[in-house]
Amino acid sequence: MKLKQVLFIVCWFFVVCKLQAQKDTITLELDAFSMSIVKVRDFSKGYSSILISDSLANKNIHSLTDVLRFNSFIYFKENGLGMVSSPSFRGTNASQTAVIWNGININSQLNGQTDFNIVSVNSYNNIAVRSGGGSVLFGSGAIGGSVNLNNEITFKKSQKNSIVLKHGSFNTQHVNYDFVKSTDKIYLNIGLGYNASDNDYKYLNSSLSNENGAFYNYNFDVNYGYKINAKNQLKLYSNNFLAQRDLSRTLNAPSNDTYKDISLKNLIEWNHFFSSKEIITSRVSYLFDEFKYYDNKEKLDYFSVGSTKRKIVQIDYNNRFSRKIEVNGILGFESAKAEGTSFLTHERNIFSAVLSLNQQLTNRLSYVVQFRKEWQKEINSPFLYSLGIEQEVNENYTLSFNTSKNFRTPTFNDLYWNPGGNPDLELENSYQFELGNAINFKNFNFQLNGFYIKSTNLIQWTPNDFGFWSPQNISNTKNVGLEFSSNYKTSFKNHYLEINANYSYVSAKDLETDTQLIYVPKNRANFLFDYKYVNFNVYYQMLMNDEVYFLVDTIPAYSVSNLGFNFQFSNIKNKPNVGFKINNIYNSYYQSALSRPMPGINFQITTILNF
Amino acid sequence: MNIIKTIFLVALSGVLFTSCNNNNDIDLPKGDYENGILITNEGAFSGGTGTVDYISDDYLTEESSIYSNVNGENIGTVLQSIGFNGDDAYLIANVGNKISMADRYTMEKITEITDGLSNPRYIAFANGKGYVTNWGEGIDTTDDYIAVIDLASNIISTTISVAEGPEQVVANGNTLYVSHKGGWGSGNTVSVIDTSTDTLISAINVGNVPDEMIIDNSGNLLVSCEGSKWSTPELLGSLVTVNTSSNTVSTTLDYVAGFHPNNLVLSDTTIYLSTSSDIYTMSESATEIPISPIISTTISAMSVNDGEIYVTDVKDYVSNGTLTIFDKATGDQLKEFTVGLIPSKVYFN
Repeated sequence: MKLKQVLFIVCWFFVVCKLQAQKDTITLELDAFSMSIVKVRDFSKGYSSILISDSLANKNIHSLTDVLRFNSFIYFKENGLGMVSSPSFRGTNASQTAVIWNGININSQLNGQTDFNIVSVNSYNNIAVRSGGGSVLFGSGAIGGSVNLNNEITFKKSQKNSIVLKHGSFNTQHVNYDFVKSTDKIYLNIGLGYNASDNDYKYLNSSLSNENGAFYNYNFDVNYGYKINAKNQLKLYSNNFLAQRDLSRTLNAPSNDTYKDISLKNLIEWNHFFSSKEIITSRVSYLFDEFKYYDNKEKLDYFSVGSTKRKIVQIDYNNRFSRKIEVNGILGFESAKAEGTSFLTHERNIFSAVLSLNQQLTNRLSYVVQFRKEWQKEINSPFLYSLGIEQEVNENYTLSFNTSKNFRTPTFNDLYWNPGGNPDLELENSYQFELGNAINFKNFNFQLNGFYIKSTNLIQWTPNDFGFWSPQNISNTKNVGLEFSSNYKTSFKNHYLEINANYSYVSAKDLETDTQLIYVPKNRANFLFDYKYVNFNVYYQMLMNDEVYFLVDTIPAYSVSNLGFNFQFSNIKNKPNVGFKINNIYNSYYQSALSRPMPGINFQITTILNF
Repeated sequence: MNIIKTIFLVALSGVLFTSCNNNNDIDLPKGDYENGILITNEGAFSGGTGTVDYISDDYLTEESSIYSNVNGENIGTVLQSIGFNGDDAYLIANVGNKISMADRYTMEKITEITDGLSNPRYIAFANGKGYVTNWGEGIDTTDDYIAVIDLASNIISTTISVAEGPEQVVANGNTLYVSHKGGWGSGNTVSVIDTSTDTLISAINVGNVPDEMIIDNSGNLLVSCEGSKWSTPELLGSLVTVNTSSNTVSTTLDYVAGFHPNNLVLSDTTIYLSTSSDIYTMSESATEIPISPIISTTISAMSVNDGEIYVTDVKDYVSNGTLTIFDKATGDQLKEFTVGLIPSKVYFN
């Protein structure tokens, strides 16, 4: 405790999320080879994506929700701070955003979504957020976009220990230890993390507070790489996460529910290099997810449970025939088994084949074309395609275009929930195109993309004749929107300044009712001002969110701003960093989900030690 | 000018005349929401609140969310029902685990009860006490109970443990009858409670899934056991008459397959039964369940007063529902109103 206190007082630091265009070159080196990153990079021509880099552990953040809502176009519906957080990308729903862990789609097999507040915040080296349809590459659910969580295994000599300690309002604690040792033959990374919060903030404009909102979670990660010889590399990724969350009350109802989650992700990857251009990668992955829901946290004998076990095998062949042509083919097999209180035991097997071609036609014109076909029993999977084209009009202006057909497969809940599950469901289909303009100058980048997404056969749960809810392929939607992002960077002497602004407009309508879909803000913007001088850094972030509709209610528009300072003590051993952050500096009252107020002004202090 | 002056004077004298008349009026209005109906809307399950809408008897005044308009606060998530004890209304928020007590005519809040409730459903009054059925936690089949409210203090003074899924509760003198619809499962009993000792005195086996109950003009208890369409196999329902002196079943009229009425109302000597699509009537003395409906429409809940039948329709559960008023005698539709989200019962003020 004493040590902690000392560390908290010592110093200040923060590393702001650096956004950089994914297209920026990262040269492929055998030593730093990550197939999943290559995929996003080489086969995303015509798509816009942003890379949120720097070791995430260093960031002064609560959660992945926090990072992404302030830095990307993704809108989050968060059921109160730290509670279930579901993403919405371009007005699509939460199960239409795919989350990819080291190349593996990790959306829940039960509800099709990823809850961003139960994804470990400490475990990844970088996050790539890719806008637009990506089912061809990432499979089911990549309709609005995808979020790629990546670990990089490199064979460069280094050794690093780092400890991150955070303490914040509402008794929020965070401890993380990260160890990396690598040689030219072996890479080993071990991460241990603990997060907890009483999360009992007072609701502004109310006598109530966020009762029953406490949570804690642990993560344990091992990433291991072994360079067998010049031609073979073996990699192991393991990400283990345990969490308990009480589900907080709303303005209109108390709660004493609690939730426990276990998520174990394991992946073994073997890269065989025929040459530096021709690579075959084999992957075997085993994923286990389990939730337990307790209606009353005082009665832990009574709960409902659901779990999924997934076994995935992939053979991935990549060949860069020349500087101008790259071909990639993937054959995959997945077996998923779900067991639970409400749906008994079910299993499904999916075969998939993907073929991609990336060609540089001229110095300025390139394209990527991709195809995917899946086979599974009793579900007729469509033939998927994606085409992306990039034309560099001049050195400052690039025009891009993409079109794709995407899908989402019904989840185990949709098919088998008792009562209501509908085994006759079909896939959701989606077709989209997008036009992008990128303007790049030395200090200034500017991107404007317009998109159109039409989705049919969307699965919707509605009450049926028997008086219970059942899913049907009934809804059709059309999403049209604009995304604008700009970035300005400048430096002089020891001063460094960066300004980012993102704005999106989304009209997402149900074609039958012609009304905006629930939980889709029409206008949304975020803004970052970041200034550094030698060891000192100050930053200001702002998020503006338009009103959203939920059934007969409207959740008002809001804006929320944070202010942070960091300082690195470069003359102290190990150069400790200390950061201080004020969240919601104007003490704005806002709700992300109906009747679930978010906290007013609150504080967080972070200390990072590297040795 | 002259004409205008004349009109003005006439109008003025009219006003004066009227106000003189009013001075002689002894029936002071009890509140803004007298002489009309109250419609309960469950509201959204996820973070929403129940609401109460008001429509005047002459259909000229409509106001939605009257409770929050008057009190500046919400009723709570899922308004299950309202119980009336004289001028006091008890509004029961099921997920909100709260009973808001308000004046039934002004809707002004008097107090609230939050301690001692767990999934509260319905309330009845007897012996100076209020009795609230509580399902308890969904997954625990043994924690269901009746909460007893001391009406002097409006505090829950004791609880009576009962079988799973206590739903409707009616008082017959000092005896209470509780139908065990079964909560998340399906029940088949009616509990009998003596309110002088607040103890369970017997459990009567009735039919499958007993829900709405009435005390008929002969003092018998009628229980509509609605059965269950979606159980496998289907659970057939029945209309059961209980002799309230012996607390035993005197007659059972079986419902045919596919007939699952979830509403049972007595008006004068006529029994009204409704399924999700049809309204049927039968006399108290009938020995057979009617087979021809008097009205066919989509029905979520049905209420009946002297001259009209009130039918709410929840529509798609995600947008506002409707209230349709039918003439009781002719079955003609008189009027349709848009009401709140997931409307249920209508209460007469």
